[in-house]
Amino acid sequence: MSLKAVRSLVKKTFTDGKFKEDLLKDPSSTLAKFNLTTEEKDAIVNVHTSVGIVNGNSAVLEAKAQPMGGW
Amino acid sequence: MLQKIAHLLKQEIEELIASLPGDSSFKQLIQQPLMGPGRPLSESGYRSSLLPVLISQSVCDGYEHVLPLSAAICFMQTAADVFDDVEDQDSKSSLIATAGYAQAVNIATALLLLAQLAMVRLKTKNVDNGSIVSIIAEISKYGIMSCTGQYLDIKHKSNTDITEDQYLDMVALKSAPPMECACLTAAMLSTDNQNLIDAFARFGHNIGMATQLVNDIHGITKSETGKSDIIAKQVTLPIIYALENAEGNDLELLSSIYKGSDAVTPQTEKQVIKLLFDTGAIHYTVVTMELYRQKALATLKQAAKYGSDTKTLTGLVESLQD
Repeated sequence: MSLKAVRSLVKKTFTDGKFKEDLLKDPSSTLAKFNLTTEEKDAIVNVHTSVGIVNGNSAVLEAKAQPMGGW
Repeated sequence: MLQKIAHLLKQEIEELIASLPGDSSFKQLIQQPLMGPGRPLSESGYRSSLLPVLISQSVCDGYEHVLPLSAAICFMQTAADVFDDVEDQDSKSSLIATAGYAQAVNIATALLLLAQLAMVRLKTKNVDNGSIVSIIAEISKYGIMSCTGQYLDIKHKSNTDITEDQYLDMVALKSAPPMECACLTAAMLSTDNQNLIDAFARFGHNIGMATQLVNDIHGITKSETGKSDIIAKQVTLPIIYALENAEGNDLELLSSIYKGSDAVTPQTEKQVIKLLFDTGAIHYTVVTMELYRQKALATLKQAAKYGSDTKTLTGLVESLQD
């Protein structure tokens, strides 16, 4: 599974403030500029909805990760 | 329902251990790794050990016949965890701390043999010999797959040249097989529908991949409470992403740590944790984990199309998001 487009998107989100703003304001148009599969788009949107942009350790991040650790 | 199943599984495991001949202190030592946090004999149990039962329930509305299989998989996974601690020379592991490395290896070996005894007990659930042989063959095949993944993990432990694809291939061999095997074999014992069997195998694979990526995240974010992947210089997905995408001082810091031989100080560890958040390495790992979780949900939808009642399993996977 090669996630080249996801990597590009994440890199741009963390290095380009204007892009990050656009992504948060209008996710569908911003994501449309990347060659993402539907599954990849869904995963990105789900993470943004449930955790936001992960830029620090937080209870929300732990809440996302912890239940999966119990498997 | 989950509590009832966990209780029945606990009984199955305890009966098998009680049936062994010999010293009671040996039996107590066998139970010890099965009683740790998140293990099958602990208060909370763990969901992966219930997977075969839940899959059977969703396919044929019954689960008694797969309890020995669940027990076998618990023994196998616990043995693998003990061997992993020995291979990582993790002397903080409770069994190694209590009994030492030599006894830990002995107990892990006994757990593997208990897994075989558990599989033989499928006969008491009216599973025919041919099916038992097929189950033993699959479990052995997946066990060897995990050993291959562990071989690659040890080989690439501090290899900063490993690519993301190589890393995910290694995870697919090391971490995904136990759950893939649990789901596949449970489905094999519960239906002849090959489409369903394949769907559940893919479900297990994707849950296994997602679980490893959570371990990668916890190896960074929960380093103060347990094993720190940074202190151990373990190259995991966040590190691979950061090595590929960090620039300037960040890249210099990472390279000096992972390519150098100096031990990582707590202060440097904090710097690396911050760097992994700042570069998006943790965010990227969370997105990748989410992608596998989505794939797992998609396979459950396929299973539902073939007539399986996947409500409980879907509920469990969906709860992972909240």
